[in-house]
Amino acid sequence: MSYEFLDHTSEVTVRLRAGSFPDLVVEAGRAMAELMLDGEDRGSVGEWREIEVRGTERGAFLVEWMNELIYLAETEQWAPVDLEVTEVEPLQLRIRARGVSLEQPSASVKAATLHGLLVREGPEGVEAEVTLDV
Amino acid sequence: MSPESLGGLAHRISDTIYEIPASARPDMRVPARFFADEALWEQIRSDRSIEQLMNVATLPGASRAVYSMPDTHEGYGFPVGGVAAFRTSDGVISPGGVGYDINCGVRLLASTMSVEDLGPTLEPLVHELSRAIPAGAGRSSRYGMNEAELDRVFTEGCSFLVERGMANEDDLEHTEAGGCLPGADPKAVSQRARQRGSSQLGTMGSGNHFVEVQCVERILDEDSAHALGLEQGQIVVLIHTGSRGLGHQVCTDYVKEMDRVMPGFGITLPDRQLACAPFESEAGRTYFGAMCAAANYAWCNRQVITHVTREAFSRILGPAAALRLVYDVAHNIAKVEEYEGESLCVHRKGATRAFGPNNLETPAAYRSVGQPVFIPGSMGTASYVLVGRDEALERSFGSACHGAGRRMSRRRAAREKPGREVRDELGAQGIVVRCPSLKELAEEAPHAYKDVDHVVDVVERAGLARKVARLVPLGVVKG
Repeated sequence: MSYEFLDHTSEVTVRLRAGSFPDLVVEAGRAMAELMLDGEDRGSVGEWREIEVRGTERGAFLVEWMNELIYLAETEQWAPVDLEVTEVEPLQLRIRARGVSLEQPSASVKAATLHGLLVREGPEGVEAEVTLDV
Repeated sequence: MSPESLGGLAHRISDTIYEIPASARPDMRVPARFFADEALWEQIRSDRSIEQLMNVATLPGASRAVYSMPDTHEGYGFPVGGVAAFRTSDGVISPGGVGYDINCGVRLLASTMSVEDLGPTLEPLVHELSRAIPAGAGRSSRYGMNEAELDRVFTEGCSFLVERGMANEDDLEHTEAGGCLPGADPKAVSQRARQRGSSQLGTMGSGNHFVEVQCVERILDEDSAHALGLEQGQIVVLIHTGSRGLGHQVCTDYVKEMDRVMPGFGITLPDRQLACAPFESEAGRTYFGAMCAAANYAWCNRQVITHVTREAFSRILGPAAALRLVYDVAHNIAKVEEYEGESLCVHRKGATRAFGPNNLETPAAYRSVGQPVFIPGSMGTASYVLVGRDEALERSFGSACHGAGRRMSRRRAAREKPGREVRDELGAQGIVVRCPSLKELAEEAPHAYKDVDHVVDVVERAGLARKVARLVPLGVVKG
């Protein structure tokens, strides 16, 4: 599993690779956490919580999930550290997560967009590209 | 096709205009026109701006042509610096064509002080501004609002703040649309958007947002400067921010909704982020109502920051240090405007309205010269005041550019020069900088942007707006 940030003139494109779609969702959460935490240790990890994401296909799930994390970062000052997908339904994903408190998000990620959204089978299983408005 | 190959489809039709004809791709409905000279065109060809503008030209109801301003660069869906107008009768509205930061914009305040008056108080003044204006992503303000107050911000815009003592009638007169679009529909704003907006009025946010204390370095058009009340050596304040988390959530909500409903209208697009619906459809109308509400929130946000800035000036420089609003103009917005008897929904995504002297929306005090247009550079470089020209209506739906335009990614900018070095270089130029994050400082460094003098020169040569004054930074409070 891996993620990397690709150059974009004004935004950030994230490339994700994983063996399965649930692992790809976990990797997307880790990429978002890196942007929000900027690699800093932000203290003790809190309690596990459940997050539910709805979508109609894999791309929509990914974008919805990343937008959910942006919403939680801004309204609860929270970013994930440990993640696992516990349930995959055709129209719903359930994710278990615990994370840390943010004094403030260290990067301004405004939204995950549908621009150039790509989810496809790759050499490692599944790969995706999502462009974030920053 | 690669950006280079796409560039090969363009015809140079003047020294500041390149055009890709509608016949270049079967799905294009109108030509894609770029305002650029040879040097800017080479930069435009280096990323996906060309492909993105060609994609915009495929949207239903596109009128005349789609345009890229001289500061254009790759965005998502629309390029940044993109302008497109769609007939309200049979055309669409696209949340992605406005962007996440709805009514991000710029306002200029002119002080009664000169640079000599400021003297050693610059540093305490900038420090006071940084204390008074919350900066950084997700930061809250001291002006929390309940649901009823939020509804009034959505529907009344800046008028609501007159009642609260944070704005005056002169401020309204000098704000685009009087600081209030009439089509706002509070019911179209989701609970999530409200939650994000309830505590962020009067906050700057992060990224390229700023409050800058500047000096009028040079007057370039005496008559226009006089009409705008600007003179050489004067201290001015430029404020750049938008609708914060509220606007981001409105756009997120409606891109998703348009993506869902669009197939029902038989619309297929080359990029899902261009998701749209007919302007007259329920989805189109609902988004327009929510966007107007977010736009009114953004005008209030800049007005509250104005109020706080006035207080800070008064505390540091005394009550005589008054700040008058020269103008406030949006650069991420969709507005219904009339062109040759046709009603169009004009999308400006990273583009500034630039109406000339004869337009009724130009404030009465500026009818002899044109609507003020502000083009900020980057930290450490100049900003410009211009005025719109009547000819711009025909050339670009009355639009000009909104900044210098990025020329490299944030990550590359940070790789090339660390934030500490950027701060030290600005300090060596005598510019006082306050920024909560060295990383953000590195990402927004001057070398990440195009040469603003060159970009503004092309704006003027293309006949979109006329230069009035060149401003230089003295103190920067970054988001």
